[in-house]
Amino acid sequence: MKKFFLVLLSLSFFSCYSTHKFLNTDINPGGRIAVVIAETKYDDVNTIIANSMSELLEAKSKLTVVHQHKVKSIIGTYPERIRGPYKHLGDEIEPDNKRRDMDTLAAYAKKLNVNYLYVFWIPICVESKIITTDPYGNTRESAGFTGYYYIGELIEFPSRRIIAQGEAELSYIPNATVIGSRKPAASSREMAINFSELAVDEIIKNTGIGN
Amino acid sequence: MFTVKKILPFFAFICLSVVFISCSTNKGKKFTPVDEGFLIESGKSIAVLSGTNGDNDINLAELISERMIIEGRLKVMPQAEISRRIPRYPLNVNLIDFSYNDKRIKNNPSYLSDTSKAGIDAVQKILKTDYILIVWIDSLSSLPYNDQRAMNVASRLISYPAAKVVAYSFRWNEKHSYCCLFPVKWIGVFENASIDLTEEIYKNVK
Repeated sequence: MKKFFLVLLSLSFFSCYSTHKFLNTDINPGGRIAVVIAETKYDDVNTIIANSMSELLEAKSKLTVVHQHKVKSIIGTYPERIRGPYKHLGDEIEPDNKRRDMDTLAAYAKKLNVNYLYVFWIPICVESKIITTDPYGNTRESAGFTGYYYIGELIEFPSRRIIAQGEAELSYIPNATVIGSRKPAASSREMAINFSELAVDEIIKNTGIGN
Repeated sequence: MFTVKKILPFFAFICLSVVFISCSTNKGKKFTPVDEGFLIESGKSIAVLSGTNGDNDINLAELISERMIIEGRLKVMPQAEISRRIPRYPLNVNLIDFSYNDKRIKNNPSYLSDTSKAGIDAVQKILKTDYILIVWIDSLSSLPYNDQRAMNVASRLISYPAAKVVAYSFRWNEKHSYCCLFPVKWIGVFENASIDLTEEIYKNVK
């Protein structure tokens, strides 16, 4: 069981923390890939990650990438919710591989004519506010910590073989003052782009599909 | 042996105390008919719908539906059958598009927005049930200091063919524990909420 809030708070000084686990490392370098948003709650962050990962995969890997506008034009209802490998109840997320809707993902891969899908879900977001009080007792509220729980998978089709599974706690803190060099992301955009770079680098490093 | 005899009742007392401390409470408006004296007709068909496409609403609708099937007295359409008949339901269908902060609810506690009502009526046209019960969670809260979990459950019962809201509810279901050995699980809050709402509904079945 994920004690998501506590994990997020303990990781609040890191802009992102990636944990892609590679179950397989052999990828066809001549293959085609599409990044797929499978949870529609946080549209802005989802879109940045999907676009950014697509661009980075195209720039850094040998794979042919189907871009987001093409995914949207081929699958008219995209983006839409696709059941992910987890159970969500209240504010808790529990991994559950049996829940993943592999049939819908396989149909996506077929329609998009790709060998690989990188699918991701962001089911939960946590926001906190910072309340400061001056010596005269006036209080001021400002944006504090915002954290997202992220699940991503790289899946091969039509074999339905899972290449990698990832979990991450992404977060940003506007105007954070940090001692040391590791400054957290200041915006959702910076957070999403930083994470996309990390995820793509991990995929390339572990599968050897880099240019 | 003497010590064991003394310890066992003491331990049982502690366990029972913890069970009683881990309690649940309800605040808000329980399931209430709009018109006084209204009763749901026994043997009629009903479909329980999830108000939004969020996992929590979907889970709650499933639990309530399962419980109502067990209770009998009404013909409850299984969730799998609803999914089969309504394309993209429940993962990609949002029927409730207002929150409980909406000022119109203060004057009219059985309020449904025009767009929500139109969506529910469209679903009923396909399902053809006598009643639609739509349920959703307006807000969730989790307080770690006393391990409290709470959720605000809302519902509307709509009768057909009149297409009229005949009953509504809006209740906080909360559970808390003061002992880390017995932490509160969300599933417990969901199950309690489904039991409470089902019991209240069945009190209004003739």
